[in-house]
Amino acid sequence: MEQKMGTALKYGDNINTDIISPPQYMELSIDAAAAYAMQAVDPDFAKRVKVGDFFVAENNLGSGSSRETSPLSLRYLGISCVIAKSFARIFYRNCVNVGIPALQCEDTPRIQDGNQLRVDVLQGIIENITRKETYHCDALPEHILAIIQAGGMFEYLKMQQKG
Amino acid sequence: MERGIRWQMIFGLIGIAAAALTLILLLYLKKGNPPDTRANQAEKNSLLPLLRQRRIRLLMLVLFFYCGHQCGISNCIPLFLSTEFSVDTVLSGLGVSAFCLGLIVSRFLCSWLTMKFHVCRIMLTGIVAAAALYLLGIIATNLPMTFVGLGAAGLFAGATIPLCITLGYEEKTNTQSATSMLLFLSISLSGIAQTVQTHHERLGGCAMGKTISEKILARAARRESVSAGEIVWANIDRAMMDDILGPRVEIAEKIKLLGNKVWDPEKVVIISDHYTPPASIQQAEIVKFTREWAHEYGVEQYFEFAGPCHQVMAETGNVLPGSIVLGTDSHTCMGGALGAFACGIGSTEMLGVLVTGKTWLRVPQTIRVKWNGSLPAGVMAKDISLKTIGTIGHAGATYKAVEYVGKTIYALSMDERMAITNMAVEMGAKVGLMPTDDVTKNYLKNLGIEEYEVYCSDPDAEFCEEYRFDAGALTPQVACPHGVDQTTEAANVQDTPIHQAYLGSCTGGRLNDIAQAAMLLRDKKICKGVRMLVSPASTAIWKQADEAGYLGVLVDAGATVLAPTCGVCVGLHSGLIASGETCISSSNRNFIGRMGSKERNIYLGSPLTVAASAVEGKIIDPRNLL
Repeated sequence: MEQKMGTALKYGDNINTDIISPPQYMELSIDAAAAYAMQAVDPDFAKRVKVGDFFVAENNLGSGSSRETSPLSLRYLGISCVIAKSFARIFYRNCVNVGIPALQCEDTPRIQDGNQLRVDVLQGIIENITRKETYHCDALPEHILAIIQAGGMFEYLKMQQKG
Repeated sequence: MERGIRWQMIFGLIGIAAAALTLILLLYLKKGNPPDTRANQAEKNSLLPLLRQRRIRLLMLVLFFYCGHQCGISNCIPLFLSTEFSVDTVLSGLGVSAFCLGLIVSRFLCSWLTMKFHVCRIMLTGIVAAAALYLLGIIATNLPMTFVGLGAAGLFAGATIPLCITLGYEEKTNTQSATSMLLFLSISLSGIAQTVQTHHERLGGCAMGKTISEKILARAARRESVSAGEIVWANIDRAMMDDILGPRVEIAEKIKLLGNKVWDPEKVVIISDHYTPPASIQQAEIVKFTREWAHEYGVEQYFEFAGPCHQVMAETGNVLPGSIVLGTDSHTCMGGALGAFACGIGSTEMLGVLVTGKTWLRVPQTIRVKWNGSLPAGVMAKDISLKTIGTIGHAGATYKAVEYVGKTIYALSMDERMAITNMAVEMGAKVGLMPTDDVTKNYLKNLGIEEYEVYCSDPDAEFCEEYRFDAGALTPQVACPHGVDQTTEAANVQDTPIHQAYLGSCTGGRLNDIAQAAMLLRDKKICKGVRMLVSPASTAIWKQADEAGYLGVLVDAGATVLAPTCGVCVGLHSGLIASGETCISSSNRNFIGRMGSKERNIYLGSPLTVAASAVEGKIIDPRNLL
């Protein structure tokens, strides 16, 4: 998995799933619902996110519902990696399962909105090009790395069935 | 804890006294002549002359003390270790007490019997019968059998000990006297050891030092034992999908590329609950799709319009103690009230479960939350739930299991327990667990279920944190916007005007919740300008609440009774809130974007707080209206 380059979209603590994917739009398909992602805290989110960008938040990212529509909306909009100081567990698993690497990093508060980042997912290293800093993420357990390297749970299962 | 230590001290002292007295008595017996029972043939069939012998009376006294000591040890060890009175502890204590009672009676009787039969024969019969009955007492599953078995075992076992002594000094050799003393001591020691072992078995603790989570995951991973932090591939007992995050999200499309069949349709349950009754064509299409998908993949357990999935899962007997239940909804953790390792997962993960029947789970550390004391009038299980979350915090239990214990919890009905475990995820927890006791067993018995495995945390299991609360000091709580952990006393936000009061959901729509609200609202009217919506948590609850007259009381007060649904709580249909409005709800989340407009406020409270606030038109401590 090569290094990823992109811009950080930065949010604070407790960005929950009701914020990432508002329930009243969940009956829509992902491409339609994604337009309302983060609406309550950043109405322009869907417009300002570019393919390859990083979604960065602080503590307890993704708390609340088990709705996979949250990481699916982020994936649809082009988010290539999710970085947070800490994650709610179902959201973390969902990100990994739908193929968005989720990195837990203590130095997340040092990342600001708009910073240019270079992220090496497998090594767990974030390079903040704008601020000329390097951060180290918590090491990923082997089985999670395997799912991330496969590109998500579906691809992982397909590989296992073939193998 | 205090009680355990006190008991242990009292019985420890009795034990020391009994041991000292035994020693003195044995020395005294050795000095004196053997009891002259055989010489007086005329009196051999009478108990009175025997009782007149001082040494026999002394022996009885000492044995009485000794039995008291043994009773005490058997009761106080589990009390000391677990520091809790649970039904199991008390029952097993009673069983051993029966055993000891048997000992007292028999030690008296056997002295008399030695005059009629040969000592060796009585001893042999006593030992064999005791062993058989003891075994029977332990394996018997019902209480009377256990009690009689252990009592009778004590009767026979008790016979052997004084006989050993009799045998010892009747032969008048020092060696045999010493042998009898050793036998007496070893039998006593083995009795104590057996007692401890019985208690551990009754407490569910064969393997030492494990939590419920560790035990359930070890079983599910087909491993001897697992410890917190390990990653295991667990076999799943029930996979539950709802309509909103079920087959339609990723699953239906991708399962076709992964063999196109479900690993075991009997272990899959599908419940359309979020979009029922549908409020738009799109919602109706989703319900239709879910229904057809269930049929196509051979899933016979499909329910719709029946109420929130977690309540339906419990009512249909799909949540059993010791089982692993995964669902595509975060409040799946409610199943922990029934002793299940139940948690929410995403749709793609569910896809993996549907294809393989397994998923990876990290064995969680456990936070123990202990509630003692009795709840004051007007304070409900929901207040326990909110207070716990407010203390531990929105992310305080992330990745962890929360185990609720304590007398307050054991005294709660299943309805109330579910209101607590349901919200474990609101502090980030993976599962919220409660020990399986008589309340659990009776709940399942009413569903016709009596076979399941019961796991309890061992007294010496490792808990990463422990919180203690006093229910007696608890007041009605509310969670303020926009976080479930933003809790305060209802009295502190008194006078906050409300526009909607919602009584319902998988957290606060059960029969007890509706009954409590009806009790408060009887002969009262809901404040003008406030709408109160009521959605019973299942059709079964709807019917029971109707038959009991509760729904009528609510309607008379001015409430609107809705279908059982998740719609209001999430904000999908049946009662959304407009911008600038405030709702007080007995549901589980008050995040921005829920229940309607993002420019609105949601306060969470108990069903009583919701009902009282509806009457006043503003948030109020319900105790003011009781």
